[in-house]
Parts: sequence; structure tokens; C-alpha cells
Amino acid sequence: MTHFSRHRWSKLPRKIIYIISKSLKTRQQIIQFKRVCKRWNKHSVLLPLNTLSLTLPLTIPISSSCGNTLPFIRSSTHSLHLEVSSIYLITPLDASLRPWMVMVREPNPGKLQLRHPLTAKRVTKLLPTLDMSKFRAFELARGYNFKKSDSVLKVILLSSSTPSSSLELLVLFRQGVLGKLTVRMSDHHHGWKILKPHRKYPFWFRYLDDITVFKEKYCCLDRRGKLYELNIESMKMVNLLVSEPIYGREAPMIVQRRKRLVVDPTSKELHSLVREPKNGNVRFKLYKFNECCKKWDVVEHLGKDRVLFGVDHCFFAKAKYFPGCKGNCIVFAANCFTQYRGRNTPDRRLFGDDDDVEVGVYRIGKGDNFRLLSSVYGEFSKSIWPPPIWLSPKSQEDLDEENFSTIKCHSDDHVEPMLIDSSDEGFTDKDKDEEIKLNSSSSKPYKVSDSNGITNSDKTRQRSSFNEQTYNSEEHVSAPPLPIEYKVHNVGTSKMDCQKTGVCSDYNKAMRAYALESVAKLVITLQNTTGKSLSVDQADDIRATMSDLQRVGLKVDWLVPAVEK
Amino acid sequence: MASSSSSSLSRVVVKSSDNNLFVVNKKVASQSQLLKQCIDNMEEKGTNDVILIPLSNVTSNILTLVLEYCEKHADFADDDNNNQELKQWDHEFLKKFDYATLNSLTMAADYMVTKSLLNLCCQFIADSIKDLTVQQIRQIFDIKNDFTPQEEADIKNENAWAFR
Repeated sequence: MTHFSRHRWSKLPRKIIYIISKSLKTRQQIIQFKRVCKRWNKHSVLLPLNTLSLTLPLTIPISSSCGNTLPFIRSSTHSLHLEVSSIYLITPLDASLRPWMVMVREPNPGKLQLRHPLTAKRVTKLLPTLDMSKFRAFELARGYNFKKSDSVLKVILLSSSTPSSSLELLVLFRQGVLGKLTVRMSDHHHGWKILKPHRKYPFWFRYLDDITVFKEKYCCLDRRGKLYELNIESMKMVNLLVSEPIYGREAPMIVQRRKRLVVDPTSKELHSLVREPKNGNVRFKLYKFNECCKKWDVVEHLGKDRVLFGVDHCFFAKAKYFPGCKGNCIVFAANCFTQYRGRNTPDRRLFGDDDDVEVGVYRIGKGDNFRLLSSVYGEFSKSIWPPPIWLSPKSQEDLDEENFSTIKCHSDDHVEPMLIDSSDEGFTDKDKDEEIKLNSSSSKPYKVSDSNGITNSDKTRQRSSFNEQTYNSEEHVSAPPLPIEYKVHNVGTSKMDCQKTGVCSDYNKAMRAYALESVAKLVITLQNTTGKSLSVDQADDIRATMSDLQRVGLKVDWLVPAVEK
Repeated sequence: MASSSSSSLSRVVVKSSDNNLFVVNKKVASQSQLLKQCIDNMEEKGTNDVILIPLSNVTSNILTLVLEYCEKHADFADDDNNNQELKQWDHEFLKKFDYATLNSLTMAADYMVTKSLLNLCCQFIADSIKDLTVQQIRQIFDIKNDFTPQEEADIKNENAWAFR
């Protein structure tokens, strides 16, 4: 018989190893756990596909038979797709590279989307994977949202820990109505409980602006600026925390904007953020919840160490995280603090109406002092947009390598073929400089390319280890992009100088394999489809593959009749 | 027969691996499925003797702790399981121990089939290591890294963000 008094962690029974690993909350923690020793690795839970949350994304089917679906959710929707939408600060361990703040979403398990942290504009040009052991990822704020649902302002997860029996969510709808959604995990049965304002109740309100968790209480802010405490069991307001409204009855509701609640993680204090109802000017007011006197105190100065980000889920961050940030300011995107009614034309005038990347900055307590962040704090602005150079497919080390031909690449949501650079020269120093400038300082370096798919910023070079890259596999047959070195070694008609490309034979084989694979897939697609059943996507793929193959000099004429058919 | 047995079985005696005897209230002992099973078996046989349950795997200092836990939870047995006071007590209870004790307690909870204590210990261990680096975990638990560099790299590679 063994004795338990000895300290033997590496020999823990497998059952206990399993239960401990099951009690971990994030993928990162599970990986750390698995790395300890072989035994822990073997007997711990399987590594989930999900990256940001072990339970999400989650599709909640809305069965029509339930009878209690909400009017706010479009009737065409048959399911709600709940996903994580977090703001991360990613800091490279290599101190010479700049940190980046980014919104990370996970619409499908294990597949992340990166977006502008404030405007949610999608970042499309990035490496297929990012090795997070080279970065420190710090989650500044975590939010949840329903995919393709404009009617929802905020989602709060009530039982987030383990996907046990049921999932409970608080959902704040654009109309200012709050509901609690309970989903039973076994059969996805769900039910809504709506917070109903009623004059008979002790605390009367009409519409809510925001809800947040403060000191383990659920606090709600109504349109007038009164603060309530919500009991999530009964879905009733149980306490009036601030009775004096921010706006009295005289303030015209039509020009008012949605207010926000935000808790400072450092001082643990609850704030409300109000964009004043003035057209043409930008003026914010920040209030702090005075718990003793049950009122809002105006905050004149936020402090040099803090900065407030105005998005749907407002959040505080330490100014020192961002190079060049002097603190005491609110950074926000256009149309973020929307008016209850009417459009936000003043914002368009302030921000310019181009491509959703500009953010504004407002220094607290300084009257009207709206500025574009990029114009006053250039360095700070770069931690938000554009995406950093270390994320683009052309990574830093490639700049140092020589003897590689230049390839122009346009990779978007879908895999698209690479195009040959007409210049047969490798990168010159001048090119390099231009590249860096484009990636770091231009306000819009990632403009969608023009019709032939070639823009300057699309220029990129293939990494020597082609196999490192993984490609998005479409549901239907699609052609993988053709790396250009294939052409060099297989097709004599190439204009390119073979000597310029130093490629190893393995690499070359891979290229051939890719080309042959493309042809094979093309033929299969053509055989399996008739002219009518060919989907638009498939047709696009065929066209792309054909032109690609033609470019590398393969004769594809024999396929043309089949394609035309 | 039934009436006499019920009175004699209000208590059981549990013997630790180092031969110390513990007199335990039946309600407290029932927190452990192992002890409960023994008691149920004896009751079926209709014995009038005091039951002695030897636990060859648990030393007396660890058994004291398990019984302390069982006693507290027996008091709350009829109560709501989510009792805040009990949760607080659980946390304070485990906070006192070093990792060696925690290890023994976890194993004892597993052996004595005290599921709630086992889960509590595992959650506590998970919480205490979740923010540590791999090296720190190995150091604290005195675990040798038995991975080859390649194997370690493979697991490390899982820590990537994939995009689409």
C-alpha cells in the first residue's frame, strides 16, 4: 500500500490530474499545465479548439416553437451566435517592436478575427498564425456579442465558468430594453425574462443606457442618468443608487446620446461617461459614483496615468501601456456615442468619411478640444492603427534576407492567387524604406486593392519556408495560391532570372505539388459541376486558378472549353 | 432488530494508517462515500457491534483534516449547496495548507470518495497554479521535466492564434 504523506505531484493519480486540468479556465492555462510533465500532459483534458473562451463561440438555436423569441431579433434569424469580442494589448517580447491594441473575435472555434479596437474594421492582411509565445497578450476588456445582430448593445455573461447545465446572459437591446436569456445546454431550450418598467414598481425608469457589474452588483443606468441596482434572479430593480438624474426633464431627448458605465479596474470605482448633447462640438463629461452620498461627482481630471476608451464596452487602461500617451483623455470612434434618434452627421464631419480607421481624442475637463488622435499623438495612434509590421505576411526577418524574388500578394478573406511582380529585381533599400513607411505611418496603408489586385502595400515576399504557411481551406474545392518560384524552375518561358531565386529543392517540390494540386482540383471541380450548378465562388476560384496557371506558363488551353461550358 | 441497530450505529470508529482511532458521528462519516458504504453494508448485516473502519491509506493528521471538512459540511448538509458562508469556510480551510498537505488531502479525498472535497482541492490547485509559469509549477511541485525538446516545442506550438 502506498502512503499519501509523501509529496509526489508528478505521480498524481490520473483522475486527479484530469479534474485539476478541467478546473482551469483558459486555453492558455491548459497549455501551461500540459507543459509541466509527460504524465500531466497525457492525463489532462484535451486541448480545446477554442482560443479565447472554453465555452464560446456558441450557437443558440431559436426554435420557433418556443413562442417567446424577442421582437428585437430579426425573424429571419434561426439561431443566435454568441462570440467573444475582446480587446487585447499585444506586446512583442522583442522590445524594439511596438505594442498593438486590437479587437479579437472568435466567430468559429480556433479561428480568430482581428479588428480595429475601436471601429471594428477588419484586419485582413495578416500571418496565418501568430506564435503567442513571442508576445505578451493582455486582455484590456472582454465583451461578448451576437454575430450579425445590430439590435444588441451589450451582452453580459452570468455563468461563464464551465459549460455545465445552463448559460445565462443579460442582453441590452438597442431600444434600451434589458432581457435575461437562459439557455439549457443539454437541449438548447431557452427562455427570456424581460426587465419590464412598471409605474407600480418602486423604481421607475423607461429605457436603459448601459449595465455593468460593480462590486458584484448589477448596476443599470437609465437615459436620464439615474443609477439602479438590478436583481438578476427576479429581474427587478431593487435599489436606487443615484436618484438625481444627470439630465433633468428639460433636456431635449432627441439630441441626447447614449451614456456609458465603466468601472476603473485600478481604483475600483464606477464612472459614467456622457457625451454632451451638442451638435458640432465634442464635449465629454465623466462622473464618478459617490457611494456615500448616492450621487454623481464630476471628474475634472482623470489623471496622467489613465486613459479611457469609448467603445460599446468602455474601458480604462493605463497610459503607460501606450507609447506617447499622456493620459487624462478619452479615445473614441465616430458614431460610438450615438444619438437616440437621428444620424450622426457631425461625427462624419469631424472624423472624415473615409475608411473607418480614424479615432478622436478628447482631453477631460478642457472644454471643446476634439482632435484626431493621429494628428496630436502620433506615437499613441500607432498602437491602434495601422496593424503593426510584425503581423503582416511580410515579417521582419524577411527584410533581412536576400536573394529572394519579389512577389506581390493580395490575400483577403479568400485565398487569392499571388501575382508576379513585373520588376525582376529583389528589394532595394529604397523599397524597404517605402514598405516600412507604408506599414507604420500611413493612415490607410491597407486599402483594398484595385481591380487587378496590385497595390503597393500589397507587395510582399514569400518566406523561404513555404510550408510554414497554412491556407484557409474552403468548403468547396479551391486552388491554393501558387508561389512564384514554381515558375522559375519549371517553365523555361519565364522572364525571371533563375539565379535571383535561391530556393532549395524541397521547397521547389512543394511548389510543383501545389501547382499539380491546383490543376487536379480544377479538373475535379469541372467534372463535378455542370454549367448551371457552378456557384459564383467556384467560378471565381476557377478563374483565379486558370489565370494563375497561365501566369506560371503552364498550358491550360485544353481546359478552356470545359471551363467555358 | 432494526431499532437496536440504528442506535448502535449512530457512531463509527475510523482507524488511520498509523493506528489512531477516531470516533465519528454517522452523519459526518456519510460525507465520505467510502465510509457510508461500509456503514450501509454493516447495517444490512444487522450487526450490533461498533463498526471499525480501517483506512490503510490515510495518516491521522490528514484524516483529522478530512473529518474536519466532513463535520462542517454535515452541518450544512440540509442547507443550500451554494451557501456563501460554507464557500468562504472552504476557501479559508484550504488556504492554511502547504502543497504537501494539499497533495495528501486531495489523494485522501479521492480515496475516501468525498467528491466535494476532491473537487474543492482540485479547483484550489488549479487556481493556485493558473498564473504560474511552467518552470514555477515544476519547482513548486518538485516535478522533473521529462519532455524531449521536440515534444515540448510541439505543445508550445499549440499556443498560437490562428486567423482566417
